[in-house]
Amino acid sequence: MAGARANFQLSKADYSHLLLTQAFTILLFFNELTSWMLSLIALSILWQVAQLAKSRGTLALTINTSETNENTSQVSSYASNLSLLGRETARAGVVRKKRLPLISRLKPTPKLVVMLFALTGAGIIIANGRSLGLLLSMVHLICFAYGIKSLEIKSRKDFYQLILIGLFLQACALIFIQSLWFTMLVIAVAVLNLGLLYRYFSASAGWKLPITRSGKLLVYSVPLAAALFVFFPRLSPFWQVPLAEKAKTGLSDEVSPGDIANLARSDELAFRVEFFSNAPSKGQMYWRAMTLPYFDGQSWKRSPEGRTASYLNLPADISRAAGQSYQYQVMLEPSNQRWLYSLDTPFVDANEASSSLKISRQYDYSLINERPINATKSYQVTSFSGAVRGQNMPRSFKHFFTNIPENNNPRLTELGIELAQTYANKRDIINQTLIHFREQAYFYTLQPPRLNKNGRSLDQFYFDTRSGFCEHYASSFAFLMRAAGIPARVITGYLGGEYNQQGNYYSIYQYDAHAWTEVWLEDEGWIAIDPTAAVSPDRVSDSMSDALRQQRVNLAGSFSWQAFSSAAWMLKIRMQIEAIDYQWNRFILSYTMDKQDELLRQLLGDGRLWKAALIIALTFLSMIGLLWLRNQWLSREKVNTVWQKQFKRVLKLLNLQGFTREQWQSPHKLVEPLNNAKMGLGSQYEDLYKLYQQLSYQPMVDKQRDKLARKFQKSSQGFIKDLKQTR
Amino acid sequence: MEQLAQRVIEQISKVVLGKSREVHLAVACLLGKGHLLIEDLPGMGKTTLAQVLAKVFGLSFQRTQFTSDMLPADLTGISIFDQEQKTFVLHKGPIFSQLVLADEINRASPKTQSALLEAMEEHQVSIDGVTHELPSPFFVIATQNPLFHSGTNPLPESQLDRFMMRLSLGFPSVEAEKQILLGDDLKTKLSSVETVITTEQLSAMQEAVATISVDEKVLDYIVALCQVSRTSDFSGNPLSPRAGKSILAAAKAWAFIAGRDYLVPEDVQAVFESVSEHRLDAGAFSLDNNANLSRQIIEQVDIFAS
Repeated sequence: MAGARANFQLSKADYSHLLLTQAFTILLFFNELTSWMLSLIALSILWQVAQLAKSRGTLALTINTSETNENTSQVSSYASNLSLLGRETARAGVVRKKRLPLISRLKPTPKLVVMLFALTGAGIIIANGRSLGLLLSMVHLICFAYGIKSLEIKSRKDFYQLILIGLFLQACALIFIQSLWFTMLVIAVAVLNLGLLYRYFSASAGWKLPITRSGKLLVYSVPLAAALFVFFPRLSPFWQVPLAEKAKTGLSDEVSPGDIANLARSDELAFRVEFFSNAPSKGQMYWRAMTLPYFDGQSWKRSPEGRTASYLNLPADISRAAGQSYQYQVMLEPSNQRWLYSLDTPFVDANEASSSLKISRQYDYSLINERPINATKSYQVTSFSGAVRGQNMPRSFKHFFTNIPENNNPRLTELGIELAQTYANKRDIINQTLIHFREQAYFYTLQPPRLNKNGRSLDQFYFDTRSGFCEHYASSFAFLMRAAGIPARVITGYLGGEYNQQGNYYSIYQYDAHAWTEVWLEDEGWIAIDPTAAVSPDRVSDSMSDALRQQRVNLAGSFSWQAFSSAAWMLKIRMQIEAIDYQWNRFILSYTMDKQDELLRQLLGDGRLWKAALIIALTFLSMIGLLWLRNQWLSREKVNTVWQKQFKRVLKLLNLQGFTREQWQSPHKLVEPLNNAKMGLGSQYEDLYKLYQQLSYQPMVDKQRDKLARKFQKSSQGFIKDLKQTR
Repeated sequence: MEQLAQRVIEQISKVVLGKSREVHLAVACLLGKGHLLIEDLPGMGKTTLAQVLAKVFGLSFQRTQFTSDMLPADLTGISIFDQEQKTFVLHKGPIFSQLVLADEINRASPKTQSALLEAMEEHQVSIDGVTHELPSPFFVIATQNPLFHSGTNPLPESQLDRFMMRLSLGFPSVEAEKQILLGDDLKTKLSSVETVITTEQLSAMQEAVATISVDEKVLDYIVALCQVSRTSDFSGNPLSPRAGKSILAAAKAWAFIAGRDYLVPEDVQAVFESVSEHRLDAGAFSLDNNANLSRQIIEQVDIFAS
């Protein structure tokens, strides 16, 4: 036993707990870490697990070979020997006073191995640094350091460091995902991490105590956390946690036939809407995301490649806000795209000016944020269903919206010209086309036949294959209208939504993605036409999931969440879970600096700063007061059991160190062996046991007992500490 | 008062060398108001222990050597006709003293044994139809030779039960034996022993022992021990409730000597063998396997069972 530094040892249980915590913490970053880094860290952890297993295995092996040389069924005998060995060594511990292998003296990891790990990791980070970006590189670095630090725990300081880095990493994981469920997972891992600390100091071998204790700690911290959440100043963007860049999800800014059909296979949530006024019927809920006015012969796009079209600068021109108005709040899921969703003609509510979003309305009445949406955000909008839009569009811009490439889809072009000649009234042209869709054999399907990409795909669809998804109908309809001289454009967005009764909101999923068209008529401005409605009215009135559930089930094969969730009770549970998630998003994640400001203003009026400080101080004080009261209250009943448990723990610890006694024997038996083995511990232990006896058997008044119990607690902790130090 | 007990033990240990445990137990037995049976080979110091106990406690002391032809009247005394007063006058036997040493009790006939044991239980004797109270405190120390010695009548279980403890002194250690060899004869040694205690003080101590507080957990422990002796796979005689009472009384006295006013399971363990072994083996005493049965019981009960 040299200095305390060299003596630092983790018990086997401590060490396995540490490795488990490490593994779980790293798993929180499963999506963020490169597979190289993941496998390297996994390798490091596995190496340590192997070392841990080896420290037990060698001993078992030596005994095994001496006993079962002639035995043919080696596997079974090995197992039985292992269990025998447990008892054998436990006895041997008494007789020979030999340290049991339970407190493992793991061999220090060879320097070479540590170096190898470190260099490989550094190499991976350097190699991927450019593509990862600053934030992810840093995350890689710290994850990696955390993963291999446990290879060289030399002192208690290293051990503390690991726990602290673990906590930091667990908090970091929330940069990437903030959903309720993930947060709970993170909390669980943090509890595991703190439990490690508890286990180390209490030397408990099981899992229940460390976990429940650190869990309790967490529960105690809830009031403080809540107070800090509400009152702690939100920091300016400069100090905010960096936001991760991620792949864009949802609609893309161009549509060619087949795009949305693919999107419709996604179950992902796009956004949620809560109406403050009456909600429109599902068939009216056309959530506009963007307009695609430019057709390049194959796809509809926002603007021609490489240049900004002048129409993008058109002022949004609305004659009057008329018709039914709907007021609602949209809660976005992070899409990493800029556009926002709204019904018909949106007006951004004035008080939304202070929101964290910088919303602007485009010429086409769609809303767009200044920066991509990379976290759950919300905004409030009022929409008017009857507003006349773009009535005063300059004539000169008309050709932008009737422009079709030459020699593209000649049959449709010809049909358009023919229609324009046949019908003088443009309304008639539109109606005739819709009637054509409705009465001819057109089919609405998720699995449209593959179309050629030769600039004739719309022809092919309109005249030959005749089955397609919404974008097929929207594209060909818009094309036909343009050919007939009517300004037209394709709109993408979502249609409908799933009403959640528990939360009183609508969920719009990716599979609700939709494409429709808008045509411009003199005096009426832009009006929305959904050719899909002509083909498949069900799609419009029912939600997407109803209309296409069967098809989707077939596509997914044996099992899919959609098919599963069609059971009524499952649906209800799913709704409930989603409602919880929604409330989490609504109240926790969207609690921004402005909301805090507003709340404080409401609560405190002016002079907010010192009042907030006062409230925080009061919270602290009341918490301390509550804790004190709780201690007073619990000490009565608890004190009577705590010391008993504590003494059992002392005995268990002694047992682990080879100071064993039979059940019937008096714990006093251990005084002498302790005195022989460890300086001064015997008498310390004797005093402790005397206290225990007094507590157990001496009659006394409660107050005296409490006092004594506290004394016992203190000296038992001191004893455990001394015992650990000399091990 | 605990110091007093310690001083008593000190004095006894001056004469009975190297037998601290046995001396403690003997004192505990006396403080617990029980009678003591000392069983050992001749010449091991049984009588010495009894004598020194009497001397230290300042008790009136009578020694009676039991023989096979001894009659109960030899013990209790007889009424003899007084010629001058023309009345029967009672001549009290040796039993009318505070400490009676019944040497080699198992050499006497059962009839005589019974007379003694009755007196032990009732604290009174009847002579010629008149009941006479025995002095208080009344304490019997009986010694007996091992049963395999010739000319012994074993005490029946019911009578063994009257003794709170059975002790055997055993051979002294080398150190102690050397001292014994060099030491003075018994008489001089006894004269060096002081009487450190009055009869009143003894009574007060016995009272104090009785008031030692007993936690329910310790009672549970005692009952658990007794229960084990009553299970079917236990080979000895079961312990009676009287045995249990004796265990408790002896343990209390043990705690008193240790200077505690409450009982702990260790007290019970300390006295258990002495109090229960003669009840368990029913006097089937042999030197080599003593303490087996009581140990079996103790080893079956968790000391923290309750």
